[in-house]
Amino acid sequence: MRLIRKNPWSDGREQVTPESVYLARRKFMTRGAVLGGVLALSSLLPSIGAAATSGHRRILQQKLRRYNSSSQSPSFTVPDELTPFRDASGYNNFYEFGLGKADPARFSQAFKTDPWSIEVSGAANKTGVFHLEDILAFHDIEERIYRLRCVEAWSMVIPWLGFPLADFIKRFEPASDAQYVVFETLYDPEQMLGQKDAFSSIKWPYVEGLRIDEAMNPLSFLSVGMYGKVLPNQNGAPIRLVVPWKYGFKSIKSIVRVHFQREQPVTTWQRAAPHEYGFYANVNPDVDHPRWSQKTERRLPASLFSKNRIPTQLFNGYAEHVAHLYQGLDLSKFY
Amino acid sequence: MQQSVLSSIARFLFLALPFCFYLLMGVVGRLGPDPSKVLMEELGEWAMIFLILTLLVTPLSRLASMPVWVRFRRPLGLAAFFYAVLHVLSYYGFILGFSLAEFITEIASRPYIYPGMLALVLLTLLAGTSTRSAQRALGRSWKRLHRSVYLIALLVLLHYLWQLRSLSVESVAYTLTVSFLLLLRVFWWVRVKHRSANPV
Repeated sequence: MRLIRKNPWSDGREQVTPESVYLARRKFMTRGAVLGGVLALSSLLPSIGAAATSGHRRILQQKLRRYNSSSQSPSFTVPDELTPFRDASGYNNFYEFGLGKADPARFSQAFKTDPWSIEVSGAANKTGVFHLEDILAFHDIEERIYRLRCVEAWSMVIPWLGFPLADFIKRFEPASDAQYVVFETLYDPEQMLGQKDAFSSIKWPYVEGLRIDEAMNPLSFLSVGMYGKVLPNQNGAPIRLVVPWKYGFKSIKSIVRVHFQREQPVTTWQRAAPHEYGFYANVNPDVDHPRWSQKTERRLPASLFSKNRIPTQLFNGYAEHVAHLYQGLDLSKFY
Repeated sequence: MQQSVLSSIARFLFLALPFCFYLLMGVVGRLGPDPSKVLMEELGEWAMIFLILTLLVTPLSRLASMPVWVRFRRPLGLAAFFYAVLHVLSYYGFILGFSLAEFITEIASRPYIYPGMLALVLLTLLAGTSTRSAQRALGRSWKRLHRSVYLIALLVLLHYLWQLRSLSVESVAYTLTVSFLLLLRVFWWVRVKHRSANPV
């Protein structure tokens, strides 16, 4: 894996920001250029754009093509019926792009996910800023069909493509006192209009975290695609976490930072409403949200006439894989 | 006579428009994958919008000297009541699946529902006494009773803010609008008190 010492947010981005195009054009015009010159410049624009997509996107598409043609079966699956792609990509909670469920799909289309890099820091042997293409090059793509249970009492079943979080973490050789892994979403109000809302109760950037043993559990997954395709922007492109036994908000999207530390972090929803959202956020039918029951869920898509209401299972039905992590822990206290 | 019947029908259709729109969209499956929740939330929001419009009538007619607006106050208030009823019915039917036991447990154990529920009880009283005959029968106490619309506005705002997951420009705008309309009444009341205490 190549180590880049540059700041991840300035890295490569200068090539694609409209601002630099604007500045270049202005410089050009002050030199007394005429219409022909402006046309010549605008003909350069597509090639600049093409240069930017030569990052991880090409490698990812190659890997997905290879996976799709290999006729491999998912490495983990559930008997439930899949949610149609249209609903899984059209009904999202991604407050960076607005509070409405359709907002992320509407307002994330221009979101630039390439180039992308992740800063790894804290209590680990190998830290630094890593290009996503170099991270991807190292991992084989596999498919996992998981239930996704939102804290708002609706759920979906989604085929994710990606690799185990444990494989990703091991490569940075976390130290023995790295008891928690903290994740951060990109903070870029220019691209993420939800971060511009001056009255938002959410403190950006979005922060999530896992205990290291939760992170190393075989179910924990980093996703770069779904339904055989590259992850749509509204679903957390280019790379997101998927922890299927926890409420959806734990599965942080568009990750730019991974940090290892000894102390339990304060996560975004915990900070916003500590009595409603805890650090663990394990799916649990016996611990209600203060405003609604978690005993049942609406499996989407539902209609007015068939509500598809099903009982919610402890740990979202993954108890045999994760229950041992919480032995002796009072789940109603550590919700 | 015929004209007033026509205008009431037109008024009714106009006020029923948001409901018809969401119901139709819900029936044909255009409210997305979780239509129950959308329907419930939209009906609640429209109840609040009609309540705000009701509170806007008096300032409009006084400040713009257009008493004609007062004719809309009763239908707007009734619309707020009907949308609140539909909001609760959609919660009971579409979210809780018409389970009465669950409905009772839920409304009893969720503090954020209390202000909404109290607001609906008061709205029911106001809707029930909204006829001209009730107005005549109640005399002076009719006005006192119908002043509880200010309390209803506060309760509705509280219920709305309590159920949000995050504040936003939209929710702050609702809060400021309701606060402005209520503070305006306080201002008027203080001015009247002041005048009667110091007669010119």
